[in-house]
Amino acid sequence: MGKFRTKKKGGEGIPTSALPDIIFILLFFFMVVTKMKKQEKMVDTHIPEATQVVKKNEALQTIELYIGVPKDKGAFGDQPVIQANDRFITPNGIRQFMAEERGKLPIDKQSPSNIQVAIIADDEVDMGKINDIEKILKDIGFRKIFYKAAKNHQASL
Amino acid sequence: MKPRKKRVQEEVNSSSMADIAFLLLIFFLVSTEMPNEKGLNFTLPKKQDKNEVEVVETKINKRNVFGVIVNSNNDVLAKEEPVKIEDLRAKAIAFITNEGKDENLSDDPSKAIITLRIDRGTKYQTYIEVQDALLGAYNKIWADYLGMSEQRFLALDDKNHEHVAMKSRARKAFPFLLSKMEPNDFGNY
Repeated sequence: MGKFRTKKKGGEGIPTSALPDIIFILLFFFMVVTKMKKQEKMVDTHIPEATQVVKKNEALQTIELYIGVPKDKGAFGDQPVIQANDRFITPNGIRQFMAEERGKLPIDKQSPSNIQVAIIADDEVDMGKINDIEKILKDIGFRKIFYKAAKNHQASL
Repeated sequence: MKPRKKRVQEEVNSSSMADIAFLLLIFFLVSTEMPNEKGLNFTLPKKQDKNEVEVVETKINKRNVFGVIVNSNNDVLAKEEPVKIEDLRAKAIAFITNEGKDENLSDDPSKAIITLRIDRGTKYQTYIEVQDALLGAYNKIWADYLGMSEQRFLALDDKNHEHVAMKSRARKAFPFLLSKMEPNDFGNY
């Protein structure tokens, strides 16, 4: 009587011996191209688009201000606020904040000409708020502003 | 004859290596972000000194001022005429590079001042678009002056001395005279 040869079971499936190497390559890739998050964003910022965007000047020290509607609307309301280093501040609080942040920098880089303020604001924010912030920054001598924006690919150059 | 020692190959158990690598990978995925730092640079005007005598009659010819006003309806007014944001850049270029041809526009690039007033209530997006158009006008003029494409001009590196020298050469020929005014200060004009 003829026997049917049953197919051998596939058994192992994909060989996994190279898996650690693959994962390590991925890991190294991410370690190289990314950088640590400085702070947790507590506001929604959908940044505006522009055509003339340039890379941020890395030679300068950067202090970041986030402006947008809080993510947790139940606790903080639905009006745009300023986030500076994991807390919300009023426009007048910028004076103190900037003084603190400046103090954290190396002594030879504390001059306002070495510092730029990155404004990362939601595109729906009222300019009145930004104007207030800029007025205060101007008053305390920080005049270099960097408006974070995304490259607009649709608009023709 | 001594019995041959069995060679014991004590290898580190590497079966959990993949798991360890996965954990590290996930940690890096969560705690890092892609550096995507692009945007527009701008320098605010100097703070006005209160001790300075305030009434300094600056003799700026009206033709040399390109006043841009954006109101809370996101309408743009340039040289007292409503314009679309898309046309603003071309108008600004025409104004700066006029060199005295049109009697309503500037008579010299070194005197051509652009003032920008943004009213309370304007959307940030609109402001960035206007700022983008005005910066774009200067970038175009500078790129043309240096005889290069705009993309190449924008890609000039701030750390490269030659590039910085080129930029300052262009800026000398066509100085960057864009001033942002505080809304309530504008009444003087």
